[in-house]
Amino acid sequence: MSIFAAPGAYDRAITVFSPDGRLFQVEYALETVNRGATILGLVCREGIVLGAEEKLESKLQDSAFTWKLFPVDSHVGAAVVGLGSDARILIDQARVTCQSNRLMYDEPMDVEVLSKRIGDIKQLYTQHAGVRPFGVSIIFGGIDKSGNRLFSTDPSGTYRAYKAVTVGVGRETVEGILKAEYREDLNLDETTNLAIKSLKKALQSRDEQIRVKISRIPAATKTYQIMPDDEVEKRVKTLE
Amino acid sequence: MVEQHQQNRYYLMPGATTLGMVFSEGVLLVSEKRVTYGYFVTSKAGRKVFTITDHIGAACAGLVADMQVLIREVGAYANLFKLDNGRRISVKAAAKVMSNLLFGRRLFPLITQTIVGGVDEEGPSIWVLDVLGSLLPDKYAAVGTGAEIAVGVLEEGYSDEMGLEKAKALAVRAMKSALSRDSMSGNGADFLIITREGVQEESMKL
Repeated sequence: MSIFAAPGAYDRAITVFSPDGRLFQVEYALETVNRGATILGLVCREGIVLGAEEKLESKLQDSAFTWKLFPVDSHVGAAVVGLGSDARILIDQARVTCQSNRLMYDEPMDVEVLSKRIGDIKQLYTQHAGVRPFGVSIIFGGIDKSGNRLFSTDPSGTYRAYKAVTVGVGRETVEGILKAEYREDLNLDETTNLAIKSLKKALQSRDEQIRVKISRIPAATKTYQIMPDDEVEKRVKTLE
Repeated sequence: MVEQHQQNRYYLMPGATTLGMVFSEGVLLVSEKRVTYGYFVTSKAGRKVFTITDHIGAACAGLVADMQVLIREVGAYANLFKLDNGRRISVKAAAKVMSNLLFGRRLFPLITQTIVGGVDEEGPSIWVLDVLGSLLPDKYAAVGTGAEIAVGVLEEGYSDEMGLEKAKALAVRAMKSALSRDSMSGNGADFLIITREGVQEESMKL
């Protein structure tokens, strides 16, 4: 049964359950996320890799501009999919949360706790009247005291830990490649190439122009860095 | 006039000799047991060393009510931290929480000087806090009315490689010096010994 099957009056307010126990507005928000341009996150021993498809809306757009990958704190990065403007609000909250953790404990924030906090905010918007859910999934990746961590949060507020995760329209292609080729013992360079290759394949399968953004947090430096466009482009060309 | 002022100050402010030091396997926190209001010894069984978690403790000087409230509040934050993060709070983070609580009351302060100490992944460490929450890392420290006397003994006898027995002997020596010359300190001492194995409490008559 499709999720669009006869919602009737039960999708007018998000706080109203349908008779079979579903919250349609939350499911619609998930649909926004699943139709967004693909993002992915990968963990390896040497660090974290985040990647995103970023389609240019016009040839006149500045191709250096990135809107799906964000630094959250020096040791945490995020990739977003869905409504970009909803995402920015949550990224701002995530940044404030990380700084507040530093003020309170004089320590960088654990990635799991950060994901939980953002999940908590998303959950509020599935229960309060007069609001709509965030149409965003965020992948948080970072290096903390417990190691190299990767989490994904969806519009319902659920968060889960992953070794490799992808969300968005190309997730089936990407997940197929990751399931076959991802290994925990790949080094950072190989993991980066796997990320680029997966996104390239996903774009090719939809006949879209190949434009990929990559950011990484190496375990050695614990510092978020975006990969320069020409470096990504070089790898896109060489990877079959 | 000046004497009158000082009498009032001492009336409100119990004295103390409180010290802490890092030794090879852990930290040692010590405080004597006398609580005074002016010239009157209110209690001979006061307790100025506290456990915050099973790996962090604190030793305080100042108003007894204020130290008790402060320790309970830091303890609550430490428990919440463990539930949230799934790991124990670090000694530095617990000391920072205490520093924030003290600074937050800058205009109506808790009158306590505190030595926070414990053992975590980074090893043993102590942190010294004043009334307004300044946070200073140290290897050994003394606070309270007997601090000037005790710290001289620590200064002379302290070494990084001391084991527990040597550290305890040094603490006893520093305590005895302070207690024999500071009238607001006395009636024995409480010890808190924190190692990787946990917190051990001891008391001594001196």
